[in-house]
Amino acid sequence: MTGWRRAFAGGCAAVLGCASPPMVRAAEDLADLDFEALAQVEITSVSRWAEPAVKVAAAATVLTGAEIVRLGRRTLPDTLRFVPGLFVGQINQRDWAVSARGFAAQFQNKLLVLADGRPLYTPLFGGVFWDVPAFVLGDLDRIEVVRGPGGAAWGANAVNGVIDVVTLPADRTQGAWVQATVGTNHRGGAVRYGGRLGENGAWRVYALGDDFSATRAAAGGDFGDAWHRHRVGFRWDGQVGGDRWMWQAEWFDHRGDSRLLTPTRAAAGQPVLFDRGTRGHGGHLLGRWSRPRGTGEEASKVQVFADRGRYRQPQGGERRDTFDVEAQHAGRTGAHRWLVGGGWRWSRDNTERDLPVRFDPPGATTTIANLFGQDTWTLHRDRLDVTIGLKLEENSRAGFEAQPHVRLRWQPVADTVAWLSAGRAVRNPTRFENDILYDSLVQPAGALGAGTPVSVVRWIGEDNVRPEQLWAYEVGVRRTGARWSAEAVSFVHDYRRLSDIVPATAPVLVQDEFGPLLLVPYRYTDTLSGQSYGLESAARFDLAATAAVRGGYTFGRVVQSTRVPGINEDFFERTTPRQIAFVRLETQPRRNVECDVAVRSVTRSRWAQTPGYVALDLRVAWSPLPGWSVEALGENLTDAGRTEFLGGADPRSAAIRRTVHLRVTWER
Amino acid sequence: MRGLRIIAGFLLAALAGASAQESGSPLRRVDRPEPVIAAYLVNFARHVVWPPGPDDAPLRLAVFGSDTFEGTLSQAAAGRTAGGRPIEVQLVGSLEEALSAHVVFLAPGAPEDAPAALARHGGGRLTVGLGPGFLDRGGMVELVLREGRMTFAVDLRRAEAAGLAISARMLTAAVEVRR
Repeated sequence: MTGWRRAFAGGCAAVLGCASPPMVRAAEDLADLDFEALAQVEITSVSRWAEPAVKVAAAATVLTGAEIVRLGRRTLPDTLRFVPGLFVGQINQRDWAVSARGFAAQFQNKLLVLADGRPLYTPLFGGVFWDVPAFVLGDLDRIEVVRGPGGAAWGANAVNGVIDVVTLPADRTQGAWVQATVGTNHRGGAVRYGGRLGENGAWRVYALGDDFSATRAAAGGDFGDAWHRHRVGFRWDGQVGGDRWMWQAEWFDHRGDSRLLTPTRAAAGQPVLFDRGTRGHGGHLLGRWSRPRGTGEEASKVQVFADRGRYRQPQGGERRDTFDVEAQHAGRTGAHRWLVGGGWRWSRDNTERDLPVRFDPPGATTTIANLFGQDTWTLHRDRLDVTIGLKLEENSRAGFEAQPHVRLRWQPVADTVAWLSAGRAVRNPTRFENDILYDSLVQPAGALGAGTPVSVVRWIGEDNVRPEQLWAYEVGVRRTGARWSAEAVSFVHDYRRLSDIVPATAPVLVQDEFGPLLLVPYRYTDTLSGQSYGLESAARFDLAATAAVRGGYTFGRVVQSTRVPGINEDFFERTTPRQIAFVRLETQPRRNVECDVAVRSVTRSRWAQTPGYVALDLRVAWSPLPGWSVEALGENLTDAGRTEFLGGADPRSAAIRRTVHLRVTWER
Repeated sequence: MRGLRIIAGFLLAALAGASAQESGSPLRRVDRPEPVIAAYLVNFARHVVWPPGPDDAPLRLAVFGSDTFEGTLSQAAAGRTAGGRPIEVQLVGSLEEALSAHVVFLAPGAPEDAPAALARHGGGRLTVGLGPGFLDRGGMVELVLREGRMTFAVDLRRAEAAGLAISARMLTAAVEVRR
């Protein structure tokens, strides 16, 4: 082992890298410390307090703040590549497709993505503009990912999974933290300063900026996707008596190039280049009150936020205002641990009217009210329990839905937990399904036969599209030893009323301002159904105190069926790759040097014949002085340019290729 | 450009503030509290003068409640001794099982009244738990996480009432000692 380690150290020595204080892996090292030294050990996450990993009876992964730093990625979706069971496809410099359990698409709509409990997905299409969320790396507490329906305690849209990004309380981010990243396609900087306010209060302010240069188009030339963003914010945490308070506010600004070839009625047969770029800005204010119980579990919590933002892409955009309040109370009565709560959300949008994707009506307001309850009943002390939950949701647009779930957890021995679960989840129709007007194909006069006028395939939203429905079944097992852990989860998802776009009626001849027009209407329906099934596995093994391997392997498949042929008929079957895998080797050859290698692979997908790939990433980190860290980050090192995922609206593909970045972090 | 200027302003403010701030660079970093708690528990066992027991009988360290250690406690105790006695780790599920242990760690999930109940059952046993509030509930040693670091407080009266003598070394390191 020593020889192997030395060889690795030698290999790394040529490169500069980073390590803030060394991560200690083995408990035996710590037991040699005296009391004073123990009191100096920094603990970067307390997430497992809430529910120790070995006990969580769900397909859940927690990336701790330290793990996120060590992954050394530069954007949130890129970090998620190392969560077992998630598919991440980079479309271009700015756009990403992220999904769990199949249904990969740029405009995927089945994940609930949150930051500190505030949803990041837009009700416009139910998905996330992945270029918007940005965080100061040193302020992240953890990223929690739950695959499968989120259960009763999570809000709307938690169909195939929940991703929650949690930032640290201000008292854990004291002092200054500065980071700069420079490299082949990205320059970025972030700065944070935190201080104390009174006896029981702490605050931080932060700012970050990123400047991404354009990727190359697969067909050659500049893809035209350079962009930049800025973000400033603050957070205050305080304690008044037994009550904890938190306030945070953020403002962001976002601007970039983007080009989109899209058909228009005005220039039939000749797609028009929309190159007015992407722009966005917005902000939010969030407050939270909680009262913890003796053991530190939060017993009561009320959270309220207001969010306002504008986002405009070449094909469409929106301005949106959201107000949300939610309350929950957790308690314990005998053998029952329970949770009850409710929430109310008001969301008003106003869509862009001069872009290809339009909506009728252009502005809309939706309110969602929900009540939820969950009870975990311990049948046999710490060994066997059953959780039953129910969420009732009333959506002003889609009506009333009940989402029940049941979960049986069995922990036969202390280091092993197994579970069985079944649950129903729904996804409410978005503005796309209800109100869209989009000319997806325009053909010149004569294209459909001699004498025919210009023809247009127009997607038309329908008010009567019902919510998508999922029944999900899952079985899983997790085992944790002193130096290793492994888990395997198998799932079957049965979807009904998936939305599709189907030819509605025979073409109609109409007159518009440009003359006669053959209109081919396609309407949104809920006629699609489908199943997905798969196996998700993950493992970690500590080779030595200074070396560990972790990896994930996922197999998944989507099978669709429909009564009416339509646009999405077999779309998700084709976009979902069968297999996703990654392996990371993390080593610490010297006290202040970390050297990590990752290999990840995705098999081909039939969507646009996207080939599979194997990518190699390398990170070397070096801490020359206390508080300083220098990292060399290499991504896609073996790739000269590949198409990773093809966007929904843009027929062109960007070349995802090797990048090398240098990152310097200083904290005190 | 405006954004860049805002960031530059923040940067300057942060640097100015930072130079006035005291630095405290940690020696080590762990990504969860359990290994630190495990190390503390082993250290506590070594800094208590235990009532004499049978020669070579192991010193029992029990975890009552949810076992969140995932092996780190066994690892910390492996090959270590307290007063010449090997340290043995066990997971217990009831108050009765905990009675036979020397050090009882009351993990999350243990009944709220467990420290007081253990104290009622007589001496010779050190109770350790997570604070704040553990001492108020009848515990002897309370571990508290403050700004990412684990510290502890001791109720010396209660420990002495249980017939335990705690080393001066351990009392000096405690952030609070109730006498």
